[in-house]
Amino acid sequence: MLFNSIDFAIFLPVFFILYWFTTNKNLKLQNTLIVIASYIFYGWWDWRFLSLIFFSTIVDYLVGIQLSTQENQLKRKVYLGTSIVINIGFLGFFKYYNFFLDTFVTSFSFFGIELNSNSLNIILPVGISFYTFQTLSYTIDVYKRKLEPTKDFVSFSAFVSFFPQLVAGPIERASNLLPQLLKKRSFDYDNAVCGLTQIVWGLFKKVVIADSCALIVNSIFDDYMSYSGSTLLLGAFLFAFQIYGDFSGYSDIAIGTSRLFGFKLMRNFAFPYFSRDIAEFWRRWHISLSTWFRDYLYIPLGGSRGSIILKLRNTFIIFLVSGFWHGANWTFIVWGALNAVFFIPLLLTKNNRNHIDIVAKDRLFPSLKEVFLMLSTFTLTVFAWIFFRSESLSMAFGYFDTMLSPTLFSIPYVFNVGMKKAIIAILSIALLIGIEWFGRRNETPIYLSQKPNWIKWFILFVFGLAIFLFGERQQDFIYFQF
Amino acid sequence: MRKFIIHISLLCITLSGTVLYIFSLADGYSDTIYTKISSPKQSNLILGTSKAVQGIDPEVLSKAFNKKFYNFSIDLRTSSFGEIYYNAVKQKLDTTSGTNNIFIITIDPWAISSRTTHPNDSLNFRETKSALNKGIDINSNPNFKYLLTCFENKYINLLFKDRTAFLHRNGWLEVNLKEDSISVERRTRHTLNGYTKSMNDYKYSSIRYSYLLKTINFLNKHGKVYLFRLPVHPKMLKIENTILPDFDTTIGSAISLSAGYWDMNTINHNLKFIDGVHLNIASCKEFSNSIAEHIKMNRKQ
Repeated sequence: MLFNSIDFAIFLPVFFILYWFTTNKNLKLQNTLIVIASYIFYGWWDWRFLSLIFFSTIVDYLVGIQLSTQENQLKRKVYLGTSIVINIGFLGFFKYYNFFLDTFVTSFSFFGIELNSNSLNIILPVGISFYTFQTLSYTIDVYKRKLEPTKDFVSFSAFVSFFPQLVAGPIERASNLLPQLLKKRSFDYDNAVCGLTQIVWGLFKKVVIADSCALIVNSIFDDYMSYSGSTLLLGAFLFAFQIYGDFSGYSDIAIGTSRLFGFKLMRNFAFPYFSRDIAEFWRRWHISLSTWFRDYLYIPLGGSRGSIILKLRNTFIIFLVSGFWHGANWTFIVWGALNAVFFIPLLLTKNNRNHIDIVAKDRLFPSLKEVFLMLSTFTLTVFAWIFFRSESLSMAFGYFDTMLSPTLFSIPYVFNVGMKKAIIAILSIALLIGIEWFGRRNETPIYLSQKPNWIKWFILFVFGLAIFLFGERQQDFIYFQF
Repeated sequence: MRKFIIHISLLCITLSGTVLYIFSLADGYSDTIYTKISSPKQSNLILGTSKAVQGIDPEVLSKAFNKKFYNFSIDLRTSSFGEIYYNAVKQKLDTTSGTNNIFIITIDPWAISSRTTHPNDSLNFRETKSALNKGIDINSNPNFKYLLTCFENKYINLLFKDRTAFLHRNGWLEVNLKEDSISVERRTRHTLNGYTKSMNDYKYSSIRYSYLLKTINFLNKHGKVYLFRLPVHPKMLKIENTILPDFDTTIGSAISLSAGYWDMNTINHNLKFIDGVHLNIASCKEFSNSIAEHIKMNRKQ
């Protein structure tokens, strides 16, 4: 089920009523309702893949219990290994089987050996990368004795399948979400209104900003050879906002929806395009994934300790794996590698933690130096996004080739999608930047908790109407494919 | 909780009221379909694709025959001949209007061809994704279901109208574009390039043709059917003849079912196009008159 669909607009109030009015006196019943609703939410897309979620749930539930009772280190490792093999096995099969097969065959053909390959027509289960990492974090934390496993199967199932963040994150940690499922939730008016505001803001980012940009971006990327360099640069620029609006919009809707039901999910985006260097960007972009890799891959590998060679190795590994996590395509791997290349100079010169606070924290406007740093960081990310958006490496290189030609200095042409649509896309980006800039000191840019109720509801009305008037019709979220 | 429910209900009511008000503003400026699917049943129909929707003005015909005509042509991706358009025509026709009606069907190679890999793969015909295949009542005014589920523009267009095109209540699409020679030349080049690029994708579809025959048979029960091949720019004609070289022979059975067939490309009307395919307003009026004359002559014989 898509957040930006009529189905969800009906599903959410029905769930809200059942959650707060029918099951609120019985925690177990309420958690059972969460599981049922989550399975309906996921099954709306393809019910057959519910079995995968259910199987992962059973495996990790049982492994968690065994890990808590087992003292033998070898056996504990076997249990952990079982969980990792099964979860990563599913992910590997559904997401990467054809990629590895094709790469294998291509590698052999490079040496003149032709192999017959039988690619499988595999449907990628929506959200598999997200819930796989979520359940893995549980098992690893229990293995490291950072977390007590739960014996409550229903609550654990609700943790694995919690519908607001099931298919595109934030990738929750058991240590944050599970305790919330194990205690009674109470309704809080202010929290619910803030949640609703976050949902509406997320929807605005998705259907107005991202989907408006998508029209232009798709027309440029699909026929990039026909456009001038300046148009291609504009296409890449707009894609940066498309993916940000799309993905952070999803996260906002997920977090806002959870707040309606008394849950607090982790923050996933913290105004990444105001970053002053790539290190800061990665602390602000897809936080739940980057911290997952930091905690479960980078630190176990040694992190930034050790020799320069080790630091370089660990950094490259984390960025390459992060790229590969996004999709079975060399473009994502190069995207990851490129970010590593941007990051490594900061790491080696120990400048990777220069910018911890938000830019111009105590000022209204940034200094010229800060503007320059933000623009240069943004430019680097835009260049990297070209690989992310391209369907193949040859397309990405072709895109760069045309973009960096003398036509880069011509006037871009974007009006083939219609003047009005192009203007809406550009104005909505300007609005996004403005709202985020003035709200950057808060967790969400539209922070209304101190405001009178009528202002809160008026703002909800204005954004609701803007979504209706300027929104594009129901389009998939980009991160569903990951 | 009670306070929240009351407040959110008020918000929903206010938003819904605003949405309904905005929907009530939908008219011929909203898009090129809305008034077609929000008009009542009709008796004398003009069928075809975008060439016909811009090229035949029902008002001219109404004056000539003293009958109310309705242009139910839409565009190639919606109203190519097939099951979906056939069913829409059945819905649109007022079957109680007697048997003395006049039906004008415009035909060309595009409308009986398909871009699908297999030309008879009707499950994947482009119109399967169109508003005509969404189960909406095409005679309902206002048509909220269409606006909610099929409207392809942003709803802001209902408030701020784009004055370039206006779909009249009689189904004629009036398009006002710059008509200086440079603009027309640029549009013609662009349109013809587009059709040249896609011409190899189009293949004659026997299923589409069978639905053309079904449509004629159905309409024959309620009046007389006249077939017209609309004029196009010479370069466009060349493209059309590449897709279906023996067009007149191919549609032989359709011609024999009809009361008359005219290939208007053979008649030099000195007509002007806005883009090589669609007639401009003055030529549309002239051409509509010409159609009326042809039908009148035929009826006298």
